[in-house]
Amino acid sequence: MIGAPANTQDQLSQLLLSAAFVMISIGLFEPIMGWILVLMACAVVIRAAYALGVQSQTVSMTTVNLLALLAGLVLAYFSVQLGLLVAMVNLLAMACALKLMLMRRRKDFRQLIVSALFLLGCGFIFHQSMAMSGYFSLCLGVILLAMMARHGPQLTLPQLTGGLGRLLLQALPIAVLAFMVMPRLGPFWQMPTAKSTETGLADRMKPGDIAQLSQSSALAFRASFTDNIPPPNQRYWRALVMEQFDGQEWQIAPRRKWEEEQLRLQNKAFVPAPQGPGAAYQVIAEPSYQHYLFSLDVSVVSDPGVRKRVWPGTAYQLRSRDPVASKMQYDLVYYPQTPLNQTNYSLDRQLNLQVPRQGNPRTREWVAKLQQQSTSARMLIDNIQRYFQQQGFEYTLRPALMPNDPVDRFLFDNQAGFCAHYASALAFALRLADIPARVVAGYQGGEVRGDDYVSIYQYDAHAWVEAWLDDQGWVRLDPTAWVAPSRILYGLERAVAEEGTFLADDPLSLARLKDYAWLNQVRLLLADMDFLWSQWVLGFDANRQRDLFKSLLGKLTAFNLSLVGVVSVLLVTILLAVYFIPKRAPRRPLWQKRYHQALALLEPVWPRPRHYGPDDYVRHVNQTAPADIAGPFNQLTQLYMYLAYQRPSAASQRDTDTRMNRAYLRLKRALGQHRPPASAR
Amino acid sequence: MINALQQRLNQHWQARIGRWLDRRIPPARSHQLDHRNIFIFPSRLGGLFLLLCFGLFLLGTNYQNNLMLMLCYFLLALMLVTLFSSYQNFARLQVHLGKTQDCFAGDVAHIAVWLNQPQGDSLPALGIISMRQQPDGEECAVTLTPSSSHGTLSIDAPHRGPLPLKRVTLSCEYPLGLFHCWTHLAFDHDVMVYPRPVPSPVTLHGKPQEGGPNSSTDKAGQDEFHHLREYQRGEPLNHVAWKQVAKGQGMFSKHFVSEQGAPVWLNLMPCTTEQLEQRLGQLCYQIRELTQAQQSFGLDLGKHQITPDCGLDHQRRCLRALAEFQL
Amino acid sequence: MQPHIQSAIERVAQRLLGKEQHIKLAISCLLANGHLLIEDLPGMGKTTLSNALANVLGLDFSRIQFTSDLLPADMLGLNIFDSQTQTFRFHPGPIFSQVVLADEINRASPKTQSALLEAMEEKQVSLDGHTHTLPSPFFVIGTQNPLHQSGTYPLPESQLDRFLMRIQIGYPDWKAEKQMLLDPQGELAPLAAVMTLDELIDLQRQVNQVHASDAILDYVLRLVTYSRESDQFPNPLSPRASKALLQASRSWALIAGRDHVLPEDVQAILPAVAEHRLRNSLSEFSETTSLSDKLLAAVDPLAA
Repeated sequence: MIGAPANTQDQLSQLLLSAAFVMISIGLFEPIMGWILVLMACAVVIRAAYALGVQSQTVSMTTVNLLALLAGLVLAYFSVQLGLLVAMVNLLAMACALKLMLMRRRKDFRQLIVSALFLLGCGFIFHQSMAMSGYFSLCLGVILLAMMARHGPQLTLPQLTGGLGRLLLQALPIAVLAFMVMPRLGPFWQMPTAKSTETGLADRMKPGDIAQLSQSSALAFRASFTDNIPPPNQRYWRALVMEQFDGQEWQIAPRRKWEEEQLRLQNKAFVPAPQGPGAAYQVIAEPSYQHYLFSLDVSVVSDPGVRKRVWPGTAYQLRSRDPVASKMQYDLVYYPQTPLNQTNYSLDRQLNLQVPRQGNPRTREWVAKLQQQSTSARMLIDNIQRYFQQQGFEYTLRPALMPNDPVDRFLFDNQAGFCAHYASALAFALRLADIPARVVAGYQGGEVRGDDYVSIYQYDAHAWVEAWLDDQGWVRLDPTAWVAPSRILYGLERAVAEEGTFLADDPLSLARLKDYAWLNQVRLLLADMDFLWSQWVLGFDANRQRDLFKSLLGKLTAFNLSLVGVVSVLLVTILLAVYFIPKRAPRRPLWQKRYHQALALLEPVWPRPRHYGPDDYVRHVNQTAPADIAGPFNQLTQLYMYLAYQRPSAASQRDTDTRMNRAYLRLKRALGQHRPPASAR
Repeated sequence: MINALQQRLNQHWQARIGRWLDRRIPPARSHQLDHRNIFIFPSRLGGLFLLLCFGLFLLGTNYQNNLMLMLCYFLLALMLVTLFSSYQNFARLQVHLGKTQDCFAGDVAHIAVWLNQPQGDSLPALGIISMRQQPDGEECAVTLTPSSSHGTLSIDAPHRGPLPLKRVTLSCEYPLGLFHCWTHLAFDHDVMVYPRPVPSPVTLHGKPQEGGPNSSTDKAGQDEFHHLREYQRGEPLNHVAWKQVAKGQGMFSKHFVSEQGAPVWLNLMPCTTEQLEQRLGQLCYQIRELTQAQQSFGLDLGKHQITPDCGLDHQRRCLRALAEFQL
Repeated sequence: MQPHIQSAIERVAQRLLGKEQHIKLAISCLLANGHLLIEDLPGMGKTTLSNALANVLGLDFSRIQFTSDLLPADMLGLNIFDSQTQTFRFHPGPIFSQVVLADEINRASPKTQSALLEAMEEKQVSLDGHTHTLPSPFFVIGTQNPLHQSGTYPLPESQLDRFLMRIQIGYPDWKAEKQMLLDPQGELAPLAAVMTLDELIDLQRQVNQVHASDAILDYVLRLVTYSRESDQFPNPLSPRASKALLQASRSWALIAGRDHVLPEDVQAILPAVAEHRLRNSLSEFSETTSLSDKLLAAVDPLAA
């Protein structure tokens, strides 16, 4: 090992490593606990003071050991509530901070470098956006810079950056190639996931909940279509089906959960038989830390690779096997003409006629009355629709609170509410009228971008109703559309435009500033980039890899695949060769080159003693060579001596090249003529 | 028993490696580092780095996290690029032995090793080169500079004779410390270790191997310095020994003699082997004294004789003869 | 070529026949603001050269004969008590002169030698806490007798490089010596000055403005580096030596009438500037092959 003590030669590298730790800690602000961040800050301050020579003593071993014991105890106490993954990351960060305080030997430096890189890798579990990836890349750069500064102490920071930049640029194409070509494997074992606040829809719904969600402009998911994007009034993204109502809130029926669990254990998936033409589409779900996924009615999982991760439920909804902790991409085909009548009717009926024994008396009364007026289920629904439309119901994001008998209050007193109020009321009313009905929570609409994809934000959250009609099966009814058709056609923003409540709690959201054309452009551009990032980087899975090879090679035969292997190895070899084939000496100016070429021509015939300078040599040549050789060489030497030893003016430099060339050519010609006698010498 | 076996195996192995190295990198004064003499292997950091990449790959695959996989591939690609770049950096160097100076037994010989870079190369070699004499020499770290730099190896020289210089290991980990590039170079050199000087009175002889001490007849003259005597008034001023005056030892005048007989010889009187080293040390001391006094002398070592002369070159010749005597 | 310099060389050459090259070296040494060491046998014209140089350049001249009993005060001067004013008055020694010929420098005791060398380096004399500035320009020509070294104190190597150049005049050729014999009066008549002090100082300033291109700097560095790396040279050239090489080359180029340095200039002055720095000590004076020639032969001025 190189014996130079760590404290003299690599202050720069220590400072850079400390900086890298600061940056990584900032990047991991969420998972890492506050007190560990403070510990890290202390370590960095100590290290910086030491490296800058403010302080000459490092912390003693005993102090750090004591600190480590304390910190370990505190961490152990917290670890239960943190979950395994976050606890591990915290532990690593803590260990790094303590090691940083104590860094003395080469071994410490090595361990710190590798730990920093590992922490950086863990960072990608928590953040995958483009901006954060860029930030982490910067961290990576700083860590590598620290490594380089340690081994090249004679370099200044700009030189280091240049050298490292060259290496990184060389490595990047190889890394990208490996990323594209290396086979994607499935997970080897179940990994602990981060416990994080669940976002998006909850699996129980009170009428006010969705209104809360509408205040968020965060992305929920994106969908891209191979063919046309369906119009907004068909874009009902099913996420959760709630079949249990207690008079206040809706939730997923425990019976349904149990049933699905049974099916799963038997590994029997409910796959509806499709009817009519299908259309393929792809969804990239943002992390929600929940199980539900988004799909259009009726979607079928066609890809076996996707089927491992996505489980179809018996209410036509899709569920993910694991909580969606990072962006999740899955391919689906939807068949809009398929009727939703393929499930076990008796169970569906049994679940969806359930109403609480008591509560909402006025609604019960009203439904009974309606039931008398109507002869069929369809007519009853029409009557209710008429009631909503004629009574002047309003669509609002600020409904009044309705603690008791919420349906009564909504239908008869306030008559203003959000989609959840309408859906809840309608489903309850239908159940009272002996029509099986349930609430579906999901998203509706979304922002269309080009011909490619739709972005669905949290404020697109929606709830609607499904009713079982004997001849059709489950039929979608959207009471919100009856009252506020613009919500369905143009989205929430238009629907609540008068009220001015769109994203009222989120004044800085870019989505709120849609009125400024350029800002909107920026927002959309960022969305585009994020989509491409999600699709091609985060979502580059085995399928996409296969598609890429297919589009490149046509068919995936064994020959083609081995061709890919050979070509990629070849590509890497060529890249390495390009970087490392010994470079020729830097280009000399033409005048130098010409003069040295002339020397090379003359020296075999008129040998030049090693110490002869240009003046001595030209004199020697003049004396011994014929005039037609000496002449041009004289001229070459004059020009060379002028350029090499004097202060040549910029103006005179311009035509020297041509003169040099001309003299060189004349010399060459003259030598060619003299060749026979010259070689006879 | 097992220990002994292990030791023998070890020795055998070392010898084999030594023979192989001698064939592959024969001793020379100057070495251009290239694929024939450079060895390269991941350093400890490189090993840890590979482990890290494996960990990232596992984690990335389990979480199906493409960014983590990308990081893993990028680090691996970087390692691959570094393999070439550290080799290339190291292979730019030209190593040659600098000036060597003879030394006395018991001293430490300092041997300069120069690390040169071909001029006009666009990228000079960078980093720290650590130099060490195998197997347990002192280490010397050299920070490379764009043109040429040197490091000094300190080697103990306990015995007289030619200095045994074992292979010198040079290693470098630039740019990222992921790879350890090294080479074992053997150098042709001619460092001679002289016997340790043993202070003794200068005893001069007449003809080689004849007569006793001071047998030549001296006559006061001008040519050779002979001795100091207290200054007496009337003696020429330029014979005053000013060195002694400056040291405050009193006023002395130098007395010179002209030799009439044969030139002055130092000789190795017949002695037992136990006395030999002592005797050689005394001769060594006397040679230096005489050279400092700029007096000419000859050296007689029995079979080997060096004719009288003076000057540093002569001194070097004589000392070398002493160093190699009966070796 | 500068007319002043040309006529100065011609005039000195009338005194020292057939030694034009040495005169040019001596003048370039002076113009480069350095001191000169002449190593030669007695009677070769050391005194003549220094005297003539001082005369043509219009400088005052003094000569100090170094002997083993010469004390520093004999050379530098003394503080003498003036009984009238009851104070000490500084009585300058022979060193307070623009051109000083320090004859047989190796005969003096080390104490005196180092006093001289200190004065040369600092261009001032410190005595009893007072500093006395030496005249400007201050030019020391030291001479050394390489043979007959009994009872001498050779200058230590570390101090030899205080002298910018070391030259050996050597015997004159047949023709020149005959000319000298024919005209014994020639040596006696004093030479007229060819330039004023201001003109001399202006020339010294011009030396610093001579352009040394990148190629020249590289050449000098290659020379110096070679001396450090090769084991043929007991004493490698120091950074001070490379500075001296460049300065002397500039001054040589100026004498040749150029405003830029050529490799040939470096080669012309290298033996005078580098030889005494490369040598181990005087005792190897007699060695035949010159180290500076070895150095010159090994380094290609046109190496790319």
